Amino acid sequence: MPLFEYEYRHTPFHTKLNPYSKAVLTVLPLLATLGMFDPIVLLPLTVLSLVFAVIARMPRDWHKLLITVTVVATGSRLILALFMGYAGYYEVLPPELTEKPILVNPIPEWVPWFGMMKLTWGGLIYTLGFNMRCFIAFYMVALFIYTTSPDEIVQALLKVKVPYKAIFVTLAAFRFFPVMTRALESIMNAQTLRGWVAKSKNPIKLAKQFLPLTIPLIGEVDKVVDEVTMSITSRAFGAGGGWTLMKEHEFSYLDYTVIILTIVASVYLFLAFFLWNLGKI
Amino acid sequence: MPDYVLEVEDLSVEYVTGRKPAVRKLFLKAKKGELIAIIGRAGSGKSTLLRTLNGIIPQYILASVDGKITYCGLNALEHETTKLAPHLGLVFEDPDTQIVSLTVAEDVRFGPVNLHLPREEVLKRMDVALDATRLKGFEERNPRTLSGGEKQSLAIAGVLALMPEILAMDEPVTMLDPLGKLRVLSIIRDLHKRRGLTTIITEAGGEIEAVAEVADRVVVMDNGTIMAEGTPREIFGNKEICEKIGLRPPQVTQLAHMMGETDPKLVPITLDEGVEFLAKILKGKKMRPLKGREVSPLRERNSVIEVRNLHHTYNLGTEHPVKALDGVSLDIYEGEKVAIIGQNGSGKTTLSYHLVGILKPTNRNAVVKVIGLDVTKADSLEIIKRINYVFQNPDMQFFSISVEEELGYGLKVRGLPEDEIKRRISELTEKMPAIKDYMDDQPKTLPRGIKTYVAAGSLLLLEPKILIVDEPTNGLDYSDIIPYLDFLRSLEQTVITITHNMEFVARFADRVIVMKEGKILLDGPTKEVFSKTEMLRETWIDPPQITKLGQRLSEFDLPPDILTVEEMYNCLKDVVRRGS
Repeated sequence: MPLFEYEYRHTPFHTKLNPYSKAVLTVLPLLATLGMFDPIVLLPLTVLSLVFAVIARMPRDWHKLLITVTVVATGSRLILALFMGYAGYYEVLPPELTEKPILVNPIPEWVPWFGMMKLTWGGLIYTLGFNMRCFIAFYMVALFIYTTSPDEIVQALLKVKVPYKAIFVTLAAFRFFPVMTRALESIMNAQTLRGWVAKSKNPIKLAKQFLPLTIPLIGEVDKVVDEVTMSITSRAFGAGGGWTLMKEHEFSYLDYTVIILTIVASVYLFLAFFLWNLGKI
Repeated sequence: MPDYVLEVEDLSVEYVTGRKPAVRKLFLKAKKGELIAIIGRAGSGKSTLLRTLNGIIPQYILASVDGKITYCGLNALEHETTKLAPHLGLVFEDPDTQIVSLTVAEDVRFGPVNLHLPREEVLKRMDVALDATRLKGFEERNPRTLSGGEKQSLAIAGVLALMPEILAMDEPVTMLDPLGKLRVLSIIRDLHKRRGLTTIITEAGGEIEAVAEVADRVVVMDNGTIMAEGTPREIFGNKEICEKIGLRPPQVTQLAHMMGETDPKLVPITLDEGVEFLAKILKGKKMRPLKGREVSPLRERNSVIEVRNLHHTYNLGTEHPVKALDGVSLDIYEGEKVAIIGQNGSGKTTLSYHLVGILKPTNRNAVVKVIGLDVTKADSLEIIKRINYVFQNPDMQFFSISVEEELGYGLKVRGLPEDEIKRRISELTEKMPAIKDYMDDQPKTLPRGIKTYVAAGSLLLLEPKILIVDEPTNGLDYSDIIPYLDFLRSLEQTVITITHNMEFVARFADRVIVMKEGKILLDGPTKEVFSKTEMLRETWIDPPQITKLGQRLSEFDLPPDILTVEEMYNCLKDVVRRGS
């Protein structure tokens, strides 16, 4: 099952919503919650994005990857969270909570740098909030990609007068990612069978150990970019000075409902963030 | 005065990075409705020619181009590729790179939509293209789910929807399985005969029998120039020309040449002509039974691969599970040379991926043992001491700056000392003299034939007891195939190949395993398998032309299991001598 590739399914996201409403649904909540880290506020959106993915029948492999990426992204934040024991970092949460350690720090405070490290409830809440934001962002973008065909995207972009060159890049990117994930898988298989392993703890050595993957992959990227460019131009891309719109993206009641609800919810979240500190920690 | 739709005059193309011109002072004309086959080995300039015809060269691939290309009243060198596309449609070798959309319908209409045609016209053209390529009913399918032949048909449909006057196809059947080849060839024939489309196809030599059947004119290219040009009969039928330009004629033609027939008018070019030709000679004569290739009985050897009740289902737990292996059981014995054949999706690659541990069974009671090691649980470092896998595309593994480094990588990872690595590489080059002159070259820049040796060599240095070779002939010229085949046969190791090239199978394999829908349909000595025509037909596998010739002449007691032209000649020369 290739990742990041549209697949036709008979679901409301695939058949009932037009690309504009899906774009609104993807982008607006992300913008509205840009500064939010409160897990309680983000929880409904997290659940909602998962429910949407289930309704769109997103394949299991996508879920696995999205969750893995979320965990990896969170891992880096956990390190940052270890240094977030200072109450001044938090606008809303009380100091007794943000500074309360979860684990007793084995390193005395007077030890330079390491002494500052401690996992507090504040750090944990921050990490959890960040985790949820990553989850929502990855799931909503993946939902858009999975349920909207490149053709629909191109037609939608044309309708709003996006220049050809920008559309070309979009189209090439959609072709590029699935091809590259397949190429990376093949390269990894080939090198593993030559005994390739990446096991060094030294980052420079580790980077060097990845050369058997990165060099062939760069070669493939180069080849695929050339081939995609040649293919698209050989298929008369942009030759007519315009583009036949095969489908008028009419707005159904469902589209209007989705757009209105998303705008209302996003505006509310946006205002609430500034006026009542909603979502802040 | 013939009506030419394409005229190439004094064309020379030299790549910016090239050492010599890829095309040199070339003249070519195509009549309306003509089907021209351009034949030549890799690097002969045929793909460069096609890419220059539609403007990709020099617009996207930098090169200096001199001369004149005219079609549809346009000087092609003065127009952009996008403007030329509606007049000359180019289909690339690999359909995967040409498909730009994620449903069949969207992909076919991509061209007309870009021409900004009225919606009704776009739909009409899409309908015509789908009909011509037999893709009706596939409209909502994701191209990824199509077979190789269907994908190539889709690539052709996408170009046909532009309604070009000339259709150019770069090795359209090279990458396809037998059924895909039949499908695409029949579409080409149909477009040419029924729709009168001027068509140019290129071919590296592996599908020469098919070319001889469909082409009106054959153009042989080498070193950037046209070496010979004429009807298939004028070219293939003339033994001297074939020998002079190193061209392999169809197997029936080779046979006639070996039998001393030199008159091009009498030499058979197609299978039907071959049948007629031999029938005349064999009339009233009886054959003697012929001895096959000696193969030691399987049971006397040690089993090195044991597979029992192997199941594998892709997308398990989703709404679209794909059953790739359905209870496969088999043994492969020490030193055997085995070919696994079948259509794409029959389970060949899935099976071989299990043997090297890339895939794991999806059922609990499966057994996959390689020289006693349970590869379903073993670590890859343990597995590769026993078995390894040469992938189809060597570029997927090359990363070093020299062939020597590339060869030694696996040994270096194992921690062998430098002098030991050097010693082993030196031993390997004795067995593989073809790579000797390239040891300091960068692997990516090597000729395709040499790359194949380097890829195999880098794995052989790890001393596996079993080697799996995926599509060993892919991208190789015919002149490279035979030495590579001899090399693989000379190995002491057990060699398993996965291939669609039946001529290779006939020459290489002691044993053939035919797979269909995840199961083993046939398993036995090569001769026995190729003589089971009815069962092979079930999997659309087409035996070599020479085998089919023997089978078509069964009334003269010709054996149905002849695999090579030499074998057929040996079988016939006795009869012919007795007759004369």
